[in-house]
Amino acid sequence: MGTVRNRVRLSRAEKQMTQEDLADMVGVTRQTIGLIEKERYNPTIALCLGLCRSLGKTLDELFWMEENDDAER
Amino acid sequence: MTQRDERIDSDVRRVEGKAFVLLKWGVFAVLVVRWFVLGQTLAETWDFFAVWVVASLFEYFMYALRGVPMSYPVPLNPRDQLVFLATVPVVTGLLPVLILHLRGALTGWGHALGIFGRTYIAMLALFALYRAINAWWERRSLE
Repeated sequence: MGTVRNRVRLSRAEKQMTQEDLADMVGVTRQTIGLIEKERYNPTIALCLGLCRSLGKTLDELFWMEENDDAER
Repeated sequence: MTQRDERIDSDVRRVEGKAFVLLKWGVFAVLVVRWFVLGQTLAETWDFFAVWVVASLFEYFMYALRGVPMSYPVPLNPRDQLVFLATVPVVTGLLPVLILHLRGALTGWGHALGIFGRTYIAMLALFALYRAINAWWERRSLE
């Protein structure tokens, strides 16, 4: 399977929100938002949808899959 | 050849987590019964006690290493954090003093103060270590 990439940090910056603001809106900790932005944690679909709603984006604008070289072979 | 399934992996982890909780508190219950009902000493139950302490410390430090806030899932503001940090070590220090008093094993105020002081300092040290590991995790993972 590939790697899940995201545009959460960029979208949050566009909205001029802090990690803390976004965390409060979606009901997680600031640390979890940090890990998602660093792509070190894959959120559940429910949290992805919450982030989309809070940032005013669609799911495919915010998250996408990047295929690994191994998977392509 | 193995084939991973995320739903099954998640359920396996959940079951293992519940089994761990059951074992941890089961061993604790066994220790409580042996100490307070059967009147056994710590020396007689050191094997169970060691397993319980190692498992509990492992859980505690793994939480710290994974960036779990100390009071999770209760969010604490800075004032609440201070109250938490001031209260928990005091209660933890008073608990063994109370237990020894009820068992008639306290030899005097000096003994009580010694037990309280050592437990209080140990708890503060555990808290300080947790905070330090949490801060290290945050620097390493989020910056």
